[in-house]
Amino acid sequence: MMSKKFLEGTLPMDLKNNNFFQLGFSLAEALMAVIISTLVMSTSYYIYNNFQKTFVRQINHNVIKQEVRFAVHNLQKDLKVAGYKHIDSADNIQRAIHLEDSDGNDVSDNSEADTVYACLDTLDNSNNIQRKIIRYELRKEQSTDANKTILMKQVYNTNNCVDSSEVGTLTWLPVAKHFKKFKITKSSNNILNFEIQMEDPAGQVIEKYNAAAFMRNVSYGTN
Amino acid sequence: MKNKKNQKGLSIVEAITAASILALSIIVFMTLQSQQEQRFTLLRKFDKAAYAVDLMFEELTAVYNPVPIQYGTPLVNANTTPGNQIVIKGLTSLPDVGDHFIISGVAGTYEITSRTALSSNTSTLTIEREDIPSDSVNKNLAGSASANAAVTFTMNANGSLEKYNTLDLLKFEDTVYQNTLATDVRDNLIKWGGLLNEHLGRSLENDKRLIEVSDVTINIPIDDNNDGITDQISGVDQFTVSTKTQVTIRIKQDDVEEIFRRHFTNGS
Repeated sequence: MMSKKFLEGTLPMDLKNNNFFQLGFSLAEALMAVIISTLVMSTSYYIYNNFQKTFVRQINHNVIKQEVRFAVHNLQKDLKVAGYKHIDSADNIQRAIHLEDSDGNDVSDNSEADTVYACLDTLDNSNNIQRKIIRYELRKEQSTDANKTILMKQVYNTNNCVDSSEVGTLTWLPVAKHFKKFKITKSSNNILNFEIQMEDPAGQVIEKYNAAAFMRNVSYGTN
Repeated sequence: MKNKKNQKGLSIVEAITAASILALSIIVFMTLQSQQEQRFTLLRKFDKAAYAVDLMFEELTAVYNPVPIQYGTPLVNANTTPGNQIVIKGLTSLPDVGDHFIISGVAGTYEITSRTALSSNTSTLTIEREDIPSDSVNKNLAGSASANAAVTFTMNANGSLEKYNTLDLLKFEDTVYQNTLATDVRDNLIKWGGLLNEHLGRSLENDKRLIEVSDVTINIPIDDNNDGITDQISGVDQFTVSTKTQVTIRIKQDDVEEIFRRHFTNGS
């Protein structure tokens, strides 16, 4: 207004025209620009955020995949050979496979168990036959862990496939992380079925896997 | 003239074009992302299905009996002229319908289609020649079998994977289809079909979840001297032929098809 007053009478009519002096944006234009840029920015953010979420989810899923692959590989490797008796071993395998619930009670065929014990003969570094028990169950990595459980195993010497013949506390070895559930069922045809639930590191996705191990030695009775 | 000269903003056409380009690129991005999400979900499903397929292979291993049961020391009871029946003695248990056997001195492999109850270790078997085309008119014994000729069972119906051939796992809830199957096959169909359904979700038209069983022969190079080079006779590589039972599990979901295979060694 000031400039308009100042220029009044000194400038030709053309230059007095309002449009000619419009150097900035009008309020409407500014508002439109703000709205449009907000729209563009929020859309861009939405797209970016979605891509980011998908990316993180894929990474987390890959973590689960790796862990479950390693776990199933280990479970199958150890449990398929349950009941293996070395040809030079004097005694038969007394209890090739044994399942327990979380309270330590025996679990019969076709019922879900929490812990599995496999007994088999192995050779030590000096080629001596050593009967061992391999035990798998879900445990907390630290006592302070509320919900997070990992698959752990114990491997120890035994004479009777029931008790440890080792002195001292047995060590638990971590096998795979991000386990939410691990149930084992033995069927009468000597197949161990595993039901596994994995939770991704972000705690958002739970994936279920089913796997199995056929215990050849138990089935073909090499005892 | 004045209006045009002073037009400093965008024309409506320009604005619409710009908005369209923006909208188009957003749509492209969203579509791409949605497709990526769908592919990712499908691959996740296949990943879990692969474990289920491995479970099926493990359970088939339990079914499979690579060493056929001989049911005692089976022998031909008396001289037998070509026909569709033969009396076998020396049996300690009754062979099953569907078992395959060969007879020393007689060409061909024979399948048991029915049998009488065991009496004094003897049973009369009704047979069909199995190694000739199924539409052959004459499936009787190819020649006369001598008394006391050795009978060797080459395949037990119970230990065979043949009954799983063309098993359609999509029909796991189809009771009509289930009733056409042996009890153990039906039980596995329900279990495996349900498992795949749980991991892959409901099937769509043209999806496939199929088991195929076939025999394959594989040429294995002979290397008796363990020098890592195939042995030769007169400059010709030597091979030994090994027959294996091949189980193929085909899974097709949407436009992704995965084929899983495992070989089961015969007669080991």
